[in-house]
Amino acid sequence: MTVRIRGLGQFRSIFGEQAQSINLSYGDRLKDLLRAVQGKWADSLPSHLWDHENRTVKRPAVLMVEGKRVTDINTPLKENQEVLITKISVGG
Amino acid sequence: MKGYMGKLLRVDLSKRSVMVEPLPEHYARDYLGGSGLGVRLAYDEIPPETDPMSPQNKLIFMTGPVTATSLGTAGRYQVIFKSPLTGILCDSSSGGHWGAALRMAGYDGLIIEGAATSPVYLYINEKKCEIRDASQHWGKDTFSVQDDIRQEIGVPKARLAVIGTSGERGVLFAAIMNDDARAAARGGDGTVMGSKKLKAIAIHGNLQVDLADPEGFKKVALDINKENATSADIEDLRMYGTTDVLDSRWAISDIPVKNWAIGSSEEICTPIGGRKVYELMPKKHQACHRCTIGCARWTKIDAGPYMMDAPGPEYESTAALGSMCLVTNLEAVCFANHLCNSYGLDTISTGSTIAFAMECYGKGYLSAKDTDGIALLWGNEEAVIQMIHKIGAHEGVGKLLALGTRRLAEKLGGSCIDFAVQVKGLELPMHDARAGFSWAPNYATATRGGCHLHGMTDLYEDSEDPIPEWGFTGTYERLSNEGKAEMTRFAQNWAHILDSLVICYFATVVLEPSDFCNLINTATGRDLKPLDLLQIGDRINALHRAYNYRCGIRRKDDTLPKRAMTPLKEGGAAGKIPDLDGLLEQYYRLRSWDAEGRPSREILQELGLEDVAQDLYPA
Repeated sequence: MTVRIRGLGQFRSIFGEQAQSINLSYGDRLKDLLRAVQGKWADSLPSHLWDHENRTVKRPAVLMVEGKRVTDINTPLKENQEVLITKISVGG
Repeated sequence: MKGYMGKLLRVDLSKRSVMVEPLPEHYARDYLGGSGLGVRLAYDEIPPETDPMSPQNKLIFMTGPVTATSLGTAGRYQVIFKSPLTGILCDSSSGGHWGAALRMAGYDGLIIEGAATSPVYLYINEKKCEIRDASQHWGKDTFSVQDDIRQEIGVPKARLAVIGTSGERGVLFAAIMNDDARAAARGGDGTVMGSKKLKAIAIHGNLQVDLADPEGFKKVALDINKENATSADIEDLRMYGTTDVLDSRWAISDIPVKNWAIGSSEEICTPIGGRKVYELMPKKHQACHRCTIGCARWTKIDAGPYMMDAPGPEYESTAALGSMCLVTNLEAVCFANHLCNSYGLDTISTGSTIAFAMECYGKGYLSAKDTDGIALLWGNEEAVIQMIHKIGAHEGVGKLLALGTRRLAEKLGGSCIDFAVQVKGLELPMHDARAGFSWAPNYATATRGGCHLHGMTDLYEDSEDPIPEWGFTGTYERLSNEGKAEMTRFAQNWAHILDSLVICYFATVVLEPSDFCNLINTATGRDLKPLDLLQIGDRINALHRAYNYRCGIRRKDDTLPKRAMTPLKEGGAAGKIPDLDGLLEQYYRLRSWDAEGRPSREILQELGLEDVAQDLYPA
């Protein structure tokens, strides 16, 4: 199945302006997507926002699936879902 | 006392007198400086029943023990006054260089009292303070008056704090502007300055503050400056400025849209976000006193109706004048921001009041007859521009909007108060409590009304072990109530320390309380520990609350408007709201307040506020 990954903030410059398609197997979970992301962009993922050992984001970066914040990397993914990775910027 | 100039300058505009007084050292010890010390002076000198627009109100400009040193951002100042917008004590802060200039002229603070009978400005340097005629400058915009007075006094490097026509004419949310377009914006300090017929304060000096351990301080400051120049945590801030918030935080619905009615979306937010500002107008960054972050922008639009070449915009202004009004034309938003700066208006209150008026217009509370024929429709950027002109000049419908959302809602009646998004009369800043639950108890209890800078709780949402040196450990989910009352207390105290030192929030994202201690101790020769700072924060908060309590603030005032507590239907925070009542109950316990929000006698005594305890608990 195909899942789309998009980055905002600092992640936008890593993944590009448009959502990137990642091919996964049916039944794959968020952690499988994150493994694929690390496989493709390992050198670009900044260590202050990405845990290379556990293959996931570090706070204050967050993951969102279909517009909802997700913290469980075992969350199942579906065909054509969009996963967003963003750092919550400081400002005000 | 090392780390201080040791002097306060007091100017009585009614008597046209100038006095130099010693800085009360025990207050410097108990409150550090800046906002804390200013609130203490205000508590002593401005009776709570004072009419904010009367000569009895005061403007207390304060710096802190690190102001004008080698530390980045230490050019800021605080101004403390009774607010005409809220009716309670307000402390407002501004960046730039003016605060450093005040210290370099020889003063830790400047107290303005009384009122002149005709327009005046002050010229302060190391040797004198003159009260000069400003008749020829009355009516000028904030940019030209800075240039003209600088030329008039013949000091090209003089720093100016000024008001525009909005302050002269009684707009309740007029700002004090300095160093082009830095603003002590919130609560109407510019309005108070205007009521005193004080157009400007020009300062120049070259004195240096005497530090206890100059070499030690220099090392601490340089380490912090270096960290701020290189830390990956604030890379976006350095590159894109504060408007970067629009590019990332829409996903969690943090950005208010259409007067807080709908969840934020990419379509509304990114066209006016930091990357667009950067792509379209990358003329140059601006930095405050020795700051190595340089988050401020400068925008240049070469043609069209919004042609401009001026500072800005910041995030809060962009959201208030943009997404709140459904305006997504970046050039229009930049121009609207520039107009606010020219008139000397608080952009948060201005944008919020216009968005509120748009909703009133849509619901029939205002008609075209009321709005001087202007169609106050969502997304009508030209209407936003016209409204700013009207408010800034205080004419026509502008007189109505100049009241701010709370008073306008009370005037219009019906259900308007439900969607007037303010706390204690101060329009809420551009972060949504439905997207970060800690904002709710913070907005409800922040000492000057709805405010994010008096407790940037959001920094600690989803963060691991936020302030371990203060015993604040653990991780707290953004959309959970757990730990949010404690988070509010810690964040508010942190803010009190920053505002008393006086340094910028952004320069401290990478710091711990022990870093503050190192700064204070090398500057003053004291031996403060992190928990001492926590107690100083508690003291400042209790004192400010006590003042507000004496102004009539009670539990009923510690709340959020209905609109801000109505679940969003869409976006990253859809369907969720914080448990404000439960959080307030916890917060009151943490602060040792009674059911009406009065600090307990015991906590006041414990914090060394015996005189305040006697005021709140008369025999």
